[in-house]
Amino acid sequence: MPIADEDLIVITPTAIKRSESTFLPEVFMGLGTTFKHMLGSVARGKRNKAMEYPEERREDIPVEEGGLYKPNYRGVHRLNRDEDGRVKCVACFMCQTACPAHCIHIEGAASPWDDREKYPIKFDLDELRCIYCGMCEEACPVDAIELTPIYDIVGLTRQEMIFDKEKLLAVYDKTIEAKPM
Amino acid sequence: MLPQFIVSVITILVVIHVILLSCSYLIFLERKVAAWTQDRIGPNRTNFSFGLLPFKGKHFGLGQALADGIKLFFKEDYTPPQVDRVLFILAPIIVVIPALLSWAVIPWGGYYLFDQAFTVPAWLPLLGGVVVSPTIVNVTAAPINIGVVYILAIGSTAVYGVVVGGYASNNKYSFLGGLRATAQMLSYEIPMALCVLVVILTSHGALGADQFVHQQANGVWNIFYQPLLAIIFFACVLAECNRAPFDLAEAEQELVGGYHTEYSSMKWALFFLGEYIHMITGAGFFTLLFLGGWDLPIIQEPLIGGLGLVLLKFIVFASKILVLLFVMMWIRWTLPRFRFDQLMRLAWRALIPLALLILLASGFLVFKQHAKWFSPWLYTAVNIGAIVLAAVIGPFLPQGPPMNRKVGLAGSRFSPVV
Repeated sequence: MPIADEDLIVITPTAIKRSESTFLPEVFMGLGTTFKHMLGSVARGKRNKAMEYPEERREDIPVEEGGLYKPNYRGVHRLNRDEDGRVKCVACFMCQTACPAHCIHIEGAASPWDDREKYPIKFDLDELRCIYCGMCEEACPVDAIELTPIYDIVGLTRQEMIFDKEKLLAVYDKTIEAKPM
Repeated sequence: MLPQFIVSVITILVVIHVILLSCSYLIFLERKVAAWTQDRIGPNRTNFSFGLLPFKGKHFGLGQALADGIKLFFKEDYTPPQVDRVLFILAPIIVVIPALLSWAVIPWGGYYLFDQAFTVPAWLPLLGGVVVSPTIVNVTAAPINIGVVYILAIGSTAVYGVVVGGYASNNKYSFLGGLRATAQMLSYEIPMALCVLVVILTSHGALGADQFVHQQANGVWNIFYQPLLAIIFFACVLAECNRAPFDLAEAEQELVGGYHTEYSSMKWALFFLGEYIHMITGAGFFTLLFLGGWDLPIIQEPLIGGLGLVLLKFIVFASKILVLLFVMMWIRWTLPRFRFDQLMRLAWRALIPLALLILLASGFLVFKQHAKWFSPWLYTAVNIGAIVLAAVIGPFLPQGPPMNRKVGLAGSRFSPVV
């Protein structure tokens, strides 16, 4: 579809000034600008937003200054435990169904406990495949799967990055203080 | 002869190591300056442990320069199958040799005085037992009395390496880079030589590198007499060592590295080394002509002295060069690269006419230098006059044909036809 004439905005660049056409004053002004930036960077002033990552982290600075807002950050997953320390998941497959990246694989079995019918004997979550959208957290009817503010997970192999049930429960044990259920 | 020989050898040994080591740290400085202009921090982590030695701490990232060098040594040295093998290997050598040669005449430390006769220790081969009488020698590698001409001559041969490298690579990007380098070097040699000519003229026909320095040490630095000329010369130095904004020959974005696209490992590093040594030489040349060489302003240092004075002068010279190198990096991270037609236009329509104008006016002033009204500050007036003249009459000069304008293709909405 052609663009209508009234939608076109015609911008005519302002005519080049005589002082600009000789380059020199403009060159010196440009040098001044970069020098200001240099001074600001050397002094680590407020212009310099670069952080030295492992020592300085975004979650340590206020949100207003570009910090990370922990309460709704979507990082690595965890499987919550209930009061008795059992896995809270009831193997309803809601998260697996909701997951747009198909990264959750659950195998359910009959629960040994009285308060629920099923529980997962296997709960694999491919952290490399996950897009961290948080749909699993939304879908879960018992608040069993949650996303934590941890984002610096590493592994040496792809296999290592497929988190199984024990690993996901271990994440819960580690992050229970940081993000209470 | 002999004392000069001894001093020359010592100077060569000291300066070559200082230059080669400082090159790796210049790369470090370049990365730091780039980071600072872009509001970053820059390399600050690599310490001197390299994962082997028991050093702790960050050492301000100073280990980065050496780590880069070690990395380059251990990279694969790949020669693509279609290249012209002889020229391909020769090109980095041709780049580095002129770069290593051209600082030979720069008077690093003024003069050294052998104030007493002494005998060379007998254990030294060849020279043992020779008696040296008191004499004054130049602290430079080669004290020849056509110093500036030598620098100009050697400096311009560096482009051969670029052209040969671009040709031998058998790659269109490299070839274009080589072509650009040729045209650029041809164009910018002219204003550079004109600038040198003006300085020679106003320095009473001096040609030796040391003569410029003591003329400026006794009087005022040339940069105050010839401000515009200094700027023109600096632009030419930048163009000569292929630095931004004149780095069209390598132009990472368009030519993916230009003439050194096909090079890897130490061959590539030699190109890099050549560029940085060239920068040092260029800055040294500028210091020599316009910033008074080893001269410290205000203090009237003695012309001839012992080792302390020579060291002081060397340090002063080196720090002036360092400041200029910083300015070069500063300019690199400030100005965008010229388009090729802009580059040519700048040389042929701006720098050369202005340099010629200053040459003419300065020549007239030199001719009248015994007149009552003569003062060297008239050179400054000439320079300022040239800027004003350029700004006033520039727009009235005939314009070139329109280049790189938007062409209305038939059917497009910019088309005049439709």
